[in-house]
Amino acid sequence: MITEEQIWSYLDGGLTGKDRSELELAIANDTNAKALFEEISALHNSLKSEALLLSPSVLFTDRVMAAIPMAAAYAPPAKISINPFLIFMLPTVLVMVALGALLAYNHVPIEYSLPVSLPDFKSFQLYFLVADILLFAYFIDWISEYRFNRKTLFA
Amino acid sequence: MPSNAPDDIILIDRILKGDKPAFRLLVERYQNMVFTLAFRITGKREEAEEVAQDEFLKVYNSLQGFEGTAKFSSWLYRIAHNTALTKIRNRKAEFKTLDNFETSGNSRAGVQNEVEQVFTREYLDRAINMLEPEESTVITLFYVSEQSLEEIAEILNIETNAAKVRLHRARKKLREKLELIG
Repeated sequence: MITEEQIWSYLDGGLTGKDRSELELAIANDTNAKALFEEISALHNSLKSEALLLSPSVLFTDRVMAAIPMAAAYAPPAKISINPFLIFMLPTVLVMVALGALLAYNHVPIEYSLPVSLPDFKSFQLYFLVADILLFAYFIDWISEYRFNRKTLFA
Repeated sequence: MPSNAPDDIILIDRILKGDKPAFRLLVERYQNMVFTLAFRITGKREEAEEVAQDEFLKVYNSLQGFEGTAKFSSWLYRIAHNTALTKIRNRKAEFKTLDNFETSGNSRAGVQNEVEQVFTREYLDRAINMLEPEESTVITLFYVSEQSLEEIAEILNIETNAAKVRLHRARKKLREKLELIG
């Protein structure tokens, strides 16, 4: 004698091994079991079809969207707005100031006395230029990385 | 869901970044299921639409709280279930009877064989609406939304075994109701 619960479990794929074989045998040999199986199986298939999915009215989506208050909208991502002109002007100015300072230092005699001894002029000039070029290269690298990785920079 | 449609997590990310139209896609994707669940619990189209609308507003306002540990659909259906239950608790007690029943308008007679003809959509709708809300909910989630028993348990905040028992009880009762109206 098979039960309704066994048939539902069978249809859900919950019966295995011996239980499954016994049920299949009962359905094959017992007309009552077969009738019950067919009835439950038909109900199972009807429930599985999409026929039971209902739809709201056609304007439903519009009403939901209209009901979302403007204030509740999530803030759009803040764009970093940097004037590209400034970005390229800054290192240019930096280099020009550095060069100007070096030229002035080279040609204008300045009398001073410091308690510490400075490196000779040629070495100082060289170190200063190298440091300046490194800073400039670092700056250009940072800008290009920003530009390629974050599209919002110039958007 | 079409294969090229963005998945739920991508849509949620876009919404949280201020892309309000992305929420429309989410609503369109789930509105039928949310509405069906609400209708199975409330038994009335107007109330079901109201519940579904409230539900989507709640979802929109609490999207930041969605942690992504569970499926978005489970999270959504849990809110839908709770919203609909709150609605029916708040309204004056009404008993669903065969006389005041609302059946869905779009009856579909697509049946495959003589046995299946017994269970047309209209019969099923009527029988399902005669069940208790928790019974019609479990049937809707299992068959229409194709949630697993584990997911149903999570949505209804019950144990998996309890969900299994509830599903079995609901199906048994559904057969009885079908016999009653057949």
